[in-house]
Amino acid sequence: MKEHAVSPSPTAEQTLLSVRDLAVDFELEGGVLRAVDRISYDVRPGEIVGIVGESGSGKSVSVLAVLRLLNVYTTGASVTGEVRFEGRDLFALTAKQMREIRGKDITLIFQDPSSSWHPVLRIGRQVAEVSVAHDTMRPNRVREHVEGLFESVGIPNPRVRYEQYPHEYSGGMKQRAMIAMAIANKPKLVIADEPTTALDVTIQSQVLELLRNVTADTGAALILISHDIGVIAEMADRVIVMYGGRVMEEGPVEQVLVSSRHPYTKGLLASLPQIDKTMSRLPTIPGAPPQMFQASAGCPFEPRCGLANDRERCREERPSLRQCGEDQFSACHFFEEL
Amino acid sequence: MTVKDLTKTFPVRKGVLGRAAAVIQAVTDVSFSIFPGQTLGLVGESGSGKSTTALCVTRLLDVTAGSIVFDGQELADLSRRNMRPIRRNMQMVFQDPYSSLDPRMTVKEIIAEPLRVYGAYGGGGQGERKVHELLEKVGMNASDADRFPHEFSGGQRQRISIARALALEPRLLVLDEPVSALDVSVQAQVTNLLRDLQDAMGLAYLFIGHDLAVVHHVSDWIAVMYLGRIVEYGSADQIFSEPTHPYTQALLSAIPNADPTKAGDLDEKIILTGEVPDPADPPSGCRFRTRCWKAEPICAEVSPELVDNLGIGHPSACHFPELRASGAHQ
Repeated sequence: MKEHAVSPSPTAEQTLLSVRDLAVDFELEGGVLRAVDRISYDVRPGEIVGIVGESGSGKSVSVLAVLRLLNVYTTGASVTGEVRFEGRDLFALTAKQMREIRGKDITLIFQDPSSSWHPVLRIGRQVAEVSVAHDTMRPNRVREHVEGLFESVGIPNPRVRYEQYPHEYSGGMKQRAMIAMAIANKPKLVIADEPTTALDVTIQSQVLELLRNVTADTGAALILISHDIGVIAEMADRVIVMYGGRVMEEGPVEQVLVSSRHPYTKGLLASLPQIDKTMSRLPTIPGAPPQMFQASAGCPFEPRCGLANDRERCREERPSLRQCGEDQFSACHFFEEL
Repeated sequence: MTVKDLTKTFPVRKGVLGRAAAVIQAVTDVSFSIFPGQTLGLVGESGSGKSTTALCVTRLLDVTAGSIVFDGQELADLSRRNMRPIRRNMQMVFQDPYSSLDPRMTVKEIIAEPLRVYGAYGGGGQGERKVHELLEKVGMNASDADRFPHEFSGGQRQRISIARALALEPRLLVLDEPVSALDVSVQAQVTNLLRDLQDAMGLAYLFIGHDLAVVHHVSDWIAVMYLGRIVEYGSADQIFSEPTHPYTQALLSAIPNADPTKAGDLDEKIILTGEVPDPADPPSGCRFRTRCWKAEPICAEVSPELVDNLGIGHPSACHFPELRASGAHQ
């Protein structure tokens, strides 16, 4: 089988976002921490890409780096690699050009609905700000526009809600308002970082349904970051499984989550309790996710991997993403043995 | 432990004089039993009263009304002093293993603390041996005893919390979201550990969680709570295979399934409208009626009893219980 340095290579015009060899290092007192270790992926227009991984896998940092939201001066982050959005090299843009893309063509939805709003500004005004800032709306029409957005994301009484402050909103409503803000300027790509993790399960299904509908209606692509494989399984077209700052496996959801070709994905799926199966014990992955001060020369999952079985190749040689099925890629030297 | 008609209210104080302006009924008429060697799972969303229930049965909160019988003894009206000897038989494990361990104490000091408090540490190296035994019991090494909490991962910290809870050889462990803060690959390790300890020591667990798949996996019995009341109560398998309360049905339907082939038709999912109402001003009659697709006028008037109307072996507090969630997708 042919080796691919990068995963699916659609032609340039099919790709909305292309990330190549993205790496993020943090310089800390204890040494250099490699949070994202040369990852590559593509997002096509209108598709939903799920990024799944445990804490410290680099999933959030990687998208912050893509949007150039990691402040080099305060975090000591250094970012390398190449990110192209509609063919434009994002790392070559000026700060002003980047601001024009951020909040308009690419928007971001954060996890915590309680800390991502300004507490003393009315919600309506905060949502209106993105339209005003990008000059997409005449000022006298902004309020009408925002109230229309509220309506489309299921916020009842838009007129009253426009005037209210964040503390008058419930968690679910704040997340709806966040979605309204994210779609205000008809973006081409929405990035949602654990958008429902802080919500109760019945509210989570409301918000996921809304996200699915608004992205389908506006034709925006969605990058959905989650630690919850169930959320990814229900929402995404394609999934990227991250571990230790790297992409472990990538492919269509129904392939990766049903017939995974990577021992980490397989172990993760097996360790989930199934409601339709009763088992006295769950299969586990031994050990804990890595501390990434000592970036692994080989595979970061090797110390916890049953398949590696102490093989030198897993310790020494970095596995590249290789095709392991139709449109499916695995970064395991030995996926053929699975 | 048998809990009967447990009720807990909190006053809402307003103004400078702190007059009680309203009461929040955090828990209303909750009854359940926990048997030795078995697990009762309490599930519900935030504000459902599950953590308040846990704090009441351990008497970390005073009880407004109702009875809590533990080992044949009534706890509801015991004084703090009389509660002390009983507490060693019921210990708690909390959700966040980062904030529930004192960062300045070594692991040994953390685990030895309950032993010292109850004068059970013992001299001549006896206490130390006990700490080492406990560490090994939870799958850690005796050599970890002199390290500090920050040196451990979340899963290991939760093991330390469990070792501390086991130090006094309790009969009941109250576990408040013990795996919610852990990574998926580590959750399974801790739930397996809890099961092994239960089998080995005959422990009873009150397991509180919001992740239904996890609660189902660890529980023998499950009580589903909504706005302070139990809406359905039965064996774990009954609740999952034959839920009859519309809230339970909606909750189960809301769990995202990790297997895309089983995720099924998204249109078949029950998506509840609205949010959990304010507990200071709960709806009249059935508290779920404001979000229920089956609500009729009677639901606003009469609060449904928790009874087995369908005769299928477990009770559900609904005027119109059904085995299928009919009419949910209109």
